[in-house]
Amino acid sequence: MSRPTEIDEIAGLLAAMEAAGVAEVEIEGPDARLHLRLEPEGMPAGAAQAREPAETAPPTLCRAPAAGFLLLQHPAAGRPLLAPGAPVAAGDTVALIRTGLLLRPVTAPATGRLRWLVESGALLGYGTPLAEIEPQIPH
Amino acid sequence: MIEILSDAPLATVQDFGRPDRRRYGVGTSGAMDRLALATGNILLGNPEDAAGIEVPLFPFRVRLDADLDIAVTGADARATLDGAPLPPWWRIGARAGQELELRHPLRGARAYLTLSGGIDVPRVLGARATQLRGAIGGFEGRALKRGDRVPTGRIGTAAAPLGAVPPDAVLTLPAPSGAAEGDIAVRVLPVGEYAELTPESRAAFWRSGWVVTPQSNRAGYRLGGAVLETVRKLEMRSYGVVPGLIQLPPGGAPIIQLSDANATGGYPKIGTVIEADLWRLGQAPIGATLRFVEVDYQAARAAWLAVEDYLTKLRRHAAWQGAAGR
Repeated sequence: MSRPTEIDEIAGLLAAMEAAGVAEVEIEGPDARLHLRLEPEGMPAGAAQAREPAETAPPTLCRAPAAGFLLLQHPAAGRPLLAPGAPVAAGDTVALIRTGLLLRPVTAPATGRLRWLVESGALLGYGTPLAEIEPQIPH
Repeated sequence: MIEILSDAPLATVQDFGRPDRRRYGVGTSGAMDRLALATGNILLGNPEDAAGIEVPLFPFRVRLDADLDIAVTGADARATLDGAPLPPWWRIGARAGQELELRHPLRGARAYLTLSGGIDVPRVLGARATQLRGAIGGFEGRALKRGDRVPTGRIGTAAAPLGAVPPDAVLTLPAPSGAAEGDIAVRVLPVGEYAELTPESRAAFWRSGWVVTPQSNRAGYRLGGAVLETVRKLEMRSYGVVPGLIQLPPGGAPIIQLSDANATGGYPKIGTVIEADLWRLGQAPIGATLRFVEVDYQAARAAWLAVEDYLTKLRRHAAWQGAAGR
């Protein structure tokens, strides 16, 4: 089995754990042992300690809807889901998370200007903050 | 039930067809891109061969009469649901009254609309596939038209939006030498009377780009490119035809037999596009250039296993998701 496949399989296992509400899984084979543990609320420890909000409204965090790889464009479309710098509206699909052969939409939780916190292609856990959306001040 | 809102020339209900009825002289029919049909069905939790709608001409518009999970796969037809764009190879829970529109694809030729429970038309000779020539199967044995109300198997929607990594992102083929950007490579086994081609024609068969001419449809693609010649005039007895078979009619321009081909034929046969690559032909629009890549049986077998592996993985990953999303 190639390495990317193994990562996909693990990401898939994580998705299944989240779905079933299983916090910890241990698998042992003849030459390997795999131990997966989900942090409560799917939150990596410390990830939520965002910077001190300024006097303006704080940015809204956009989180990974599942464990997997972040894609900023669809593998078939060859065009980014979101034009760079364009404002987003709550509910817009701004990226995809690839888990194995499946793709899930990342939807914007708020309206405003989006700033990526992670690179395209990054492997993310469920609930990992991947972007923040600054509310736009109307002029 | 879904209602067809556009003129839908040549849009047909298709499943995997009737491969087991060839012995009675019945052509196979079935989806030109079965991988796209199967992928849509897997996303919906349907049997892989559940009937869907094959859409070769655009725009295509339908309205849903009930809440339904739907999937659009195959050519990237820039689908919209009530005007909101959907990514390609996508499943979504749609609501009663919503309208789905498929537009002219930027890539590929045929889009597939699948629905939870499949299209529920009667089976004819074991399948729901439309065979236009015999006017059997599908929706009243014909292509769909505006105003048709097409029955679906199951209503109710529970699906969260979900996409599939498309097969051409996984089952990649290196471009053969001499291929131009956008050429479609398909792997071919030399068969039958291949050895009767002149040496020049054999070389041209592999070297040429082969254009899918406008005289092409679900029955077969008539190709333009080189003119191929045999060393002597061949007298053939009729033989059984399978989709993918490349024949050489008297003019010297090859044809590829496809889903709606007759069950038998009599032209010299010089190659067959391997089953694992038939979906690539299904997504080759008129005017596309095909490139033939020679393979042997072992390579054809390995290619088929790669297709099965894609579907197996997709099924397994969808089952993981099943616990969460459906």
